[in-house]
Amino acid sequence: MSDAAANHTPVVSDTPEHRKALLDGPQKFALRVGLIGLIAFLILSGIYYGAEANETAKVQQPFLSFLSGWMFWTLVGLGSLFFLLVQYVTGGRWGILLRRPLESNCRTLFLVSLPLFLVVAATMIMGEKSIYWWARHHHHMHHHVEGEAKPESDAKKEKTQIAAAKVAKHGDDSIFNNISPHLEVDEDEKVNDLLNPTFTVIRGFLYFAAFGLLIFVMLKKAMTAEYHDNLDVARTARFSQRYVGSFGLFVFAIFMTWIATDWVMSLEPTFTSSMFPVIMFDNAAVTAYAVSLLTLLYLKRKGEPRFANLFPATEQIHLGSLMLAFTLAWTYFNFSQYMLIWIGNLPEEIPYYLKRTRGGWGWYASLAVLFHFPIPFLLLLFRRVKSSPNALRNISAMLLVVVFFDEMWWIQPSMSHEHAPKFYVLMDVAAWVGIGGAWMFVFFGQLKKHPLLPAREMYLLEAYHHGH
Amino acid sequence: MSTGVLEQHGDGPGVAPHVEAMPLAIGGNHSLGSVVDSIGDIATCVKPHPREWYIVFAAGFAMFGMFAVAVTYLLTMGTGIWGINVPTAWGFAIINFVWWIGIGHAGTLISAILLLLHQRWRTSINRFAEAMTIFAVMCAGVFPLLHMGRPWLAYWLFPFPNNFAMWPQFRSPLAWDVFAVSTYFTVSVVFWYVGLIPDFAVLRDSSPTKIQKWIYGMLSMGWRGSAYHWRRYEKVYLILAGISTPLVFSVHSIVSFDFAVSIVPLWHATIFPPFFVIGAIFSGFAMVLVLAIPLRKWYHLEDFITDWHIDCCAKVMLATGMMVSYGYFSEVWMAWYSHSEYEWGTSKQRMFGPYGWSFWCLIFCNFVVPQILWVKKWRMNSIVLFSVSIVALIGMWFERYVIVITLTREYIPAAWGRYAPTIWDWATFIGTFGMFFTFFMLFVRYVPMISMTEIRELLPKKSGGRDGHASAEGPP
Amino acid sequence: MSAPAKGSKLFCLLAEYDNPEALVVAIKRAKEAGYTKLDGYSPYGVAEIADALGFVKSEMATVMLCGGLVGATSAFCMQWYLNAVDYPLNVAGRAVSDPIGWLDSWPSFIPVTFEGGILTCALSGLFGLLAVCGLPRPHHPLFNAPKFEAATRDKFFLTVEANDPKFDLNTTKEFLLGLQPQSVVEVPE
Repeated sequence: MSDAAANHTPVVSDTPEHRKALLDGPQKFALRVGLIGLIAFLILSGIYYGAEANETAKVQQPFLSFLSGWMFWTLVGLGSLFFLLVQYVTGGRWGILLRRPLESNCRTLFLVSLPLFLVVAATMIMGEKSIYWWARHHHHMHHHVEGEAKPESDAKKEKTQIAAAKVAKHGDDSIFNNISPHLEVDEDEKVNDLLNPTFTVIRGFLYFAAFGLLIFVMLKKAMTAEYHDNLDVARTARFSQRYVGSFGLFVFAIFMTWIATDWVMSLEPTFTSSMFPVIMFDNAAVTAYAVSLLTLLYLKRKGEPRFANLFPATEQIHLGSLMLAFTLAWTYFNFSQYMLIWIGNLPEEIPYYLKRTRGGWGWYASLAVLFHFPIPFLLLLFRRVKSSPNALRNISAMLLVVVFFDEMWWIQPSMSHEHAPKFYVLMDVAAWVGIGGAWMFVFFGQLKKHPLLPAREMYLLEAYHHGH
Repeated sequence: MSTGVLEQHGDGPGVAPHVEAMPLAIGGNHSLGSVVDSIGDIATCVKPHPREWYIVFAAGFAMFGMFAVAVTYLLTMGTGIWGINVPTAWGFAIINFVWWIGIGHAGTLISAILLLLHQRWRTSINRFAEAMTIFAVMCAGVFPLLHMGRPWLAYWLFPFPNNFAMWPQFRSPLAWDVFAVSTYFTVSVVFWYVGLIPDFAVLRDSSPTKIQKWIYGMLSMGWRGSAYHWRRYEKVYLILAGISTPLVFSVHSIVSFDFAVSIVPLWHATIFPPFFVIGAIFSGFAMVLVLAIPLRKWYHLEDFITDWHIDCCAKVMLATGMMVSYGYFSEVWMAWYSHSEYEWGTSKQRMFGPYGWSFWCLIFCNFVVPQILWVKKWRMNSIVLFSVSIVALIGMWFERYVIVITLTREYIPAAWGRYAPTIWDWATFIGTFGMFFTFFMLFVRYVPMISMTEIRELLPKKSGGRDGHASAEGPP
Repeated sequence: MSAPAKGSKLFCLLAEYDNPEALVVAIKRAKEAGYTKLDGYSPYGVAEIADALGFVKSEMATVMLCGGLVGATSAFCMQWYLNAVDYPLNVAGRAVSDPIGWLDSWPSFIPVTFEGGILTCALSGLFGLLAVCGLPRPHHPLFNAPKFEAATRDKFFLTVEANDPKFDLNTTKEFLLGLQPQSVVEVPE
């Protein structure tokens, strides 16, 4: 086995020129697509601004669409960080091929996601025109003119809407209409304690700072472990990665929870679900994984000989099964959350699903579930599908799209679109494509900077494939 | 995927392209026959059983006797002898039910998920872990039955045509529970038995006495090892593993629904299903270690249950312990984030109320103590690891205690109450340990506690094995 | 009983090997020679033996899939029939006015449906395996061969059954001896 590994010289073809030749094409393509997407987003936003009659909504909608696109790509970065940390802690064959795409995604998190966070931060401090209810609430709390009627809070508005829906469904004499649901949530305190614009914006930057520090330390240690000439130093770095990685995973879990509450869950005034961050994490993992897998499949298709050898059908089956596991987990988490909120039927929680299953959103949700669970499940169950590079590529791409539509479904219905021009969906897609183009442009740039495979650990893969 | 295998390589950055020694899945210098002699001879009683076997069995049997007394008294007097009251209507019965069934889950998990993940360290521990599952589910099942007050009417739980013209109410998680637990028990027994068929055949052919040959012969169903049979057998076993994995998740999720479907503050938490499942795995691995550490010492099975196996279990315990701790964080954080007066008020009661000590006890047992396992030296120390596992078992019991005791402090202060178990609660609970250890010791005595078939597959090719490549079908 | 009593019917010839590789080679040679009623015996499952015998894919996946689907469907229909048709139950105001409207509460019927599917899948696996393999069969002719006890211990066996069209006691025995077995015995019916 050692002979086979020694005969194999993985570093030879991995020159900067070689990587440039491989990756320049997709990088340019990403740039083009990104520019088209961003321009389309700006034009559509302009049209929307003119077409929407509601003074608040015409400002809110572009930001909400931007948030959908931005959140998706931020989660790609966060999911990559998760896989990278797990890889550093457990080691394992599965992560050796994936490592470079994951590392590049982590760097892209800072180069793309952080600057664009300024746009999200802007809407947080926009007062009554913000997309976040708490920013509006905060504005009303502090700019309330004596003598004027206090504006109705979002939660109260929601309650009225539910009552109206009930009247529509059961008729006026329904006994339920006489009972006004008692909301147990003190909104003023919630805004004062946690969800006020200043504090939330500062927290946003703190999350980036914490993840930045973590990624910086981890990647620095990784470089030492992979390239340092003194093998003892390299070994120590590799070993300490395990401990930093374990600690990092714990930090990751807690910060991920805060990110979920701050940026997405807080779009709804009273909605609280401890499962939500877990669902968000699952989507992050799926997309990060799909982006990495697509990269590997591209390199394999380009005839990169090492990828053809090291990423054979058997390896594809393993990675495809992992994808299947994440799809099943998504279903499990979502079913649990949906069933519990549906069966509990509490006035704080149920509006979340009422908004997202009524009208067009109901069909939208059913379709998203169809493409997120039964279809990928039935496809990924078969080894034949998993071992085909084209099938795996198509499924990964499909999941990227579906997860985006899933995440858009978290974000968009927080605003009523009853009277809105319906092309706001195109704005979401444009924002997603635009930010995605920028993301992939930076991603490929980062990928070019380092050898595509960690040379010192390649013997693991080679020994494995040789052994079979 | 084979993280366990690569774990060993992960220590160094691969100085030169060489392959380090594989971790020891099987120690010693075994051949196909010697595996049968080492493991089979324990079950056929060719090897004498150690003194400890008699001690544990006697202690277990005595506690089992206490269980019989407690249950007899319960059936005579009714559930009033327990500490249950309103608002804490379930009390010990549900705490112990959830605790035992959680322990059971590690057995299925080791067998099923690790088989699907091609983890070789599963092989030596799966058999007795599966036995642990079956006995733990039996202990768990006792509590809801007894709590019904009239256990002889337990068949009312099932949908059967009856002259009341009544059916179960299928929107209730308690009705789901009946199906989940009975399915879980049945499938666990099927999975265990299918795994045992070839091993019973081995015992049939290696037993010294005629009566043993006859009994094991009947149990083996006349298995003769035909290649046609093996091919079907391996497929069935693999699919059983495949369906057992979601089964474990579904069963403990449904157990968590018993709580979460209600709208009691802190019970109605959407994270409960995965949170319960992870807690179950945590306590289950603790129980596996509590059983494996003494067993391998008493029966000199260090060749099969190597330090590597123990280390892997300890790592899983550490990882799941951290995930459970995330659950505690998430519960408190979400209660505060919601700014709901009941959610947050009940959280404060949970942490600082009259039963606050139990909450901190659980944090200590499940979060603080397992941190010891970061250090390899302590993981490798049997006594330390054994103690940490015991502490984890206590901690997971406290987790369910804390959840159930929430009932004493929910919505209206007028409905608040206190709860204290009686001596009969304790007698029943400790009695189920007697039941567990009695059955487990009988299992150790009469059934091969390590799968001889799979161990022989794991042997290197030169010793007649297959290097651990099972005979599953190739890609279709 | 290594040699059959005169006049009794022969079940098969049994060739003994001490490693799976040799057995696989022998099976391949016997196949090439035109024998069809062959079987290989091993203490644990060896993929190559079944492959060499030409039994590449088993039928068990289909059996278990059908079992699971039947169970899941019946579990769902059972809940629907019991709670919506036979004795409609209204719990927490969740509509039951008609059997179709009852389906609005589908989330609460998923758990039992799932468990039903798993249960029947597992049971059809166990009983299907026994049925397809023709087990239980505690008194198979092969058990008449004393050497066969080692098939569960550390030996590998090849059998050529007497009802094979090409079977002839002397030539087949000769042929088997040519495949480098450790021994060849006749197994009576």
